[in-house]
Amino acid sequence: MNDDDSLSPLLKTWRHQPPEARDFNRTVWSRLQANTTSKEPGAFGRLLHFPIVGVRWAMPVAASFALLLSLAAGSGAALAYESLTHDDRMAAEYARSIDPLQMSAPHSHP
Amino acid sequence: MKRWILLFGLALVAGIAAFAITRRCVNRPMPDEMTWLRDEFALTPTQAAVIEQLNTAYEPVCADHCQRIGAARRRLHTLETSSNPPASELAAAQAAWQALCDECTTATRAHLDAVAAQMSPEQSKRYLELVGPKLTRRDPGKPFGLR
Repeated sequence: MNDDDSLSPLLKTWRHQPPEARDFNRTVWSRLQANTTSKEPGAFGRLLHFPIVGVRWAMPVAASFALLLSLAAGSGAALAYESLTHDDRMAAEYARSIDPLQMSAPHSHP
Repeated sequence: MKRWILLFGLALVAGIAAFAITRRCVNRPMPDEMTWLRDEFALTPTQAAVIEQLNTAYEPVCADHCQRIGAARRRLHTLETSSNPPASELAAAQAAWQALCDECTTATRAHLDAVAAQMSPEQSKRYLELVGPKLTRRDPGKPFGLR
């Protein structure tokens, strides 16, 4: 009986039993997640994102532009309002200072 | 969709906040009336001096009117809030109030015109257009809600 004859029945009956990996699922998910979050955007993607310091998160350009636009519009509107109404408010103040009916009105400013 | 609504809300809040903060920061202090007149209507030193004199002359007139308005208002208020005011006295108080309002309005208007007369025609027109409508447009029936 040679070696081949003894090996053949052994191979036929042999079953592989790998050790049980208890945290297999968690490991797979954590690797997937790490792969997703650490993925660097391309050159164009980097241009279009504003990374927040300390947070692995980036705001899409549309949101960033919308917020910037909104801030600019708010400030611009305030400046325009201030400029447009300044003379009017000053005139009202002046009129109040020469008009005794306004000066002595119960709800007039001092 | 939810993200867009959130973004819209954020943008709206940001815009309102920017408006409020900017207004607060750029809220220029109001100059005194004479400085404003001088700057706004490009008064020459001579014009400014004359207008200042007019203002000084008008001050006691205005103070007197204020005092009389206060007294007339109190009298009218007392009569109107009393349970059974004498009709003749109430009518007299109302007539006095009307007359006083007319007097004050006339005096204020005269002062406005006197100041305007010191300015160049173009600035005078602008001054009257800007300040004139801000003077009290009196509603004779409402002595307590003058504006």
